[in-house]
Amino acid sequence: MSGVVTGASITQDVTLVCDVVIVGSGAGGAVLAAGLAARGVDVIVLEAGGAYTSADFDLDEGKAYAAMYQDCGTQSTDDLSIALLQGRSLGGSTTINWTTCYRTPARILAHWQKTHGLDQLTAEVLNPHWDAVEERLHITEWPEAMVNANNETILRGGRKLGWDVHTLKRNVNGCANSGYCGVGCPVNGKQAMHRTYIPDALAHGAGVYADISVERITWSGRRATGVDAVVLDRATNKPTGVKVRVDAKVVVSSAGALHGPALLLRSGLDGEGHVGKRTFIHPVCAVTGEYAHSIKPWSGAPQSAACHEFVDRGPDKIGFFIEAPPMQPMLGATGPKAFGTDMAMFMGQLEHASTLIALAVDGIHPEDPGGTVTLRPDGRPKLHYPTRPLLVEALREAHLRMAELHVAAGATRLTTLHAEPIAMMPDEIGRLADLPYGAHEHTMFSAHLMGGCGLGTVIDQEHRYKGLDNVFVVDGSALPTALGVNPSQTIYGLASRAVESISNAV
Amino acid sequence: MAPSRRTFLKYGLAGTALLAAGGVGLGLRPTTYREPRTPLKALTPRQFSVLAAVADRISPAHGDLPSAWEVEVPEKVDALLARKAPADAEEFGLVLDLLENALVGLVLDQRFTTFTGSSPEVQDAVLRGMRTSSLATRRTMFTALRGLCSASYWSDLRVSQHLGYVRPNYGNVGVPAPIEATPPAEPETVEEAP
Repeated sequence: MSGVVTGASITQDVTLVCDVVIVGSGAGGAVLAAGLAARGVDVIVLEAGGAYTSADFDLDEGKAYAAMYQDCGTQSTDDLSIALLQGRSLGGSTTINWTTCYRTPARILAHWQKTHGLDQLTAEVLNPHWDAVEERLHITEWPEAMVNANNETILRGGRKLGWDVHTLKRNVNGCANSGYCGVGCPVNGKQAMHRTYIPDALAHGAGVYADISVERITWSGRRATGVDAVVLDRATNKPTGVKVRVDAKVVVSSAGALHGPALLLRSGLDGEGHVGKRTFIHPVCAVTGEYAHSIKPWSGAPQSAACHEFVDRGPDKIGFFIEAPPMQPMLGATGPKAFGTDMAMFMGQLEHASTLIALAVDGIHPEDPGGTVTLRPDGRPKLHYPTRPLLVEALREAHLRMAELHVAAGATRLTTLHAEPIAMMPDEIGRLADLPYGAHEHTMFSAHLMGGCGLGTVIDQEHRYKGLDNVFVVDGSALPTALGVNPSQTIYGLASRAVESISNAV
Repeated sequence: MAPSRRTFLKYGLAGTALLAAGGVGLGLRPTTYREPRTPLKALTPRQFSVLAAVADRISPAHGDLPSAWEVEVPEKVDALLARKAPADAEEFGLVLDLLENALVGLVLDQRFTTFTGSSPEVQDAVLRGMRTSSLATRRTMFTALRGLCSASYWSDLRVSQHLGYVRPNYGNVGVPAPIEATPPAEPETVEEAP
């Protein structure tokens, strides 16, 4: 029985040989690795982040974000106007996500078929894969009796308003309802990749390596020959000087949106100018409500309810859906732009605060191309994401609707995350219509990074890069639009489906 | 086309250096230094001192809450910067250099002193000006400074305990579990009915 090889154990240059090398161990790479290995394919998985377990998850936000998030938790768009939370450890974002699972909505699949020509991605094709994933990851409905006070705001307010609200499915088994999914599950309740599909891949003989950063895919003519990588020192996050070369029959990019497109661009693979284009992020804005009763937004399953009343606002507008985030102190403190005494007073109310977030569904409207990933001088991805008028309109409407929801749920005071912090009483929410919205006007962030190597554009429906015969992309970057739901289960399903075509390519 | 953030920072500093060389002494006003309690990993002593001053305005002592300096925020930010890409750490240092420069301060904030030499009231006014500046680069600088300082401050239990926040301890529930293979399940043998 083999385990994960860490960078510390690789002290001299090495060349590995395999059938398929997979760059990245998240929702795409792990499911794919397990499926291929189970078919007898010789697989190697390379993960840039470290390998961590529950023994490492001490719930310290400061340590966890620095160790397990891209760019030490500070990744953002090029103008720093939108923070971009993305995992970077064995298991990718699944190790630190908030466990919300949805199948791809039918209306999105229909849109992909009509607008992007993806006639093979039907519910009939994907359902068996989702069935299998749901069983392996124990994806089940979270009982309403277990919904915490933060998420209960959505159910209580939404039902009073007659809006479409529901509880969520989560990939947990033995969940302690702690609320700390975002810093690594301390009790192994979350069925993240490092607890499920990675061990499955290892059991079938796959090689899994942590602390290995892939610099480029090597290729000649229409075929890739493998990847060049370097070993990272986990303590400093810098290269040790040791190089890793993997010769492979097939190369798969599962490095996620932003970093997957960057890998292709560093390799001279620009997909005729399409790589990095159409990057979507479900841009998020937030409104906080103060309540007379205790919320303790840091405690309990982080996400367990949602409102989809406004997810489809018609063909002329960008829709949005509403969820609630966990609010441990550090994460909660990153939202407001306040400082000094104002900030101390805001945080002093944290125990009684419920924060709602609205996630805009970008990439569906024909005039919404999302953002673009290019390379920084040092080869890292840079995302330029303009907030266009269509999005600004959606952000304004989202603020109004979240405020309505808070008021219906019984909030006594509301606060927005504007540059000049705005606080208002429940009968003052009409003021929101006149406030400015968009980049730098208020805090924005995202934890759903999608696109940049879209199905139908950069890759075909078998996930094969159109310019080469043996390079595939299997991760969130493959999505041609945003989803209107949390993306992890869509990626699991697509990866499960891709096992067939990639094993055939070996 | 607007200059990039990096260009703005570098040209801003280069310009003040030229003016200083020409006899405009504001750009050379001395920094009020603070002594780091651990060896610096990413910042210069001058940059560290500016960061310490900023952090104490982002999170001053308030009621039971300690100041940023008391919970080593500047040292934590320095350590985090050392883990980030060198280009990011360098750019953050440029932000601090520019903020400290009195000549830049005169142009942008109508102050005649360095940031570290300014009163708390003036420092607060400078930060508020950055927060809502018409220059996108200045708002970006504020976002970076506030974000790192605030996150480092509120992640400290010596601070968050005053919010009623208690970080749970799962002790041995989180059994140290090396990631290793789980043997695949044996296929079930089903006997055919006679």
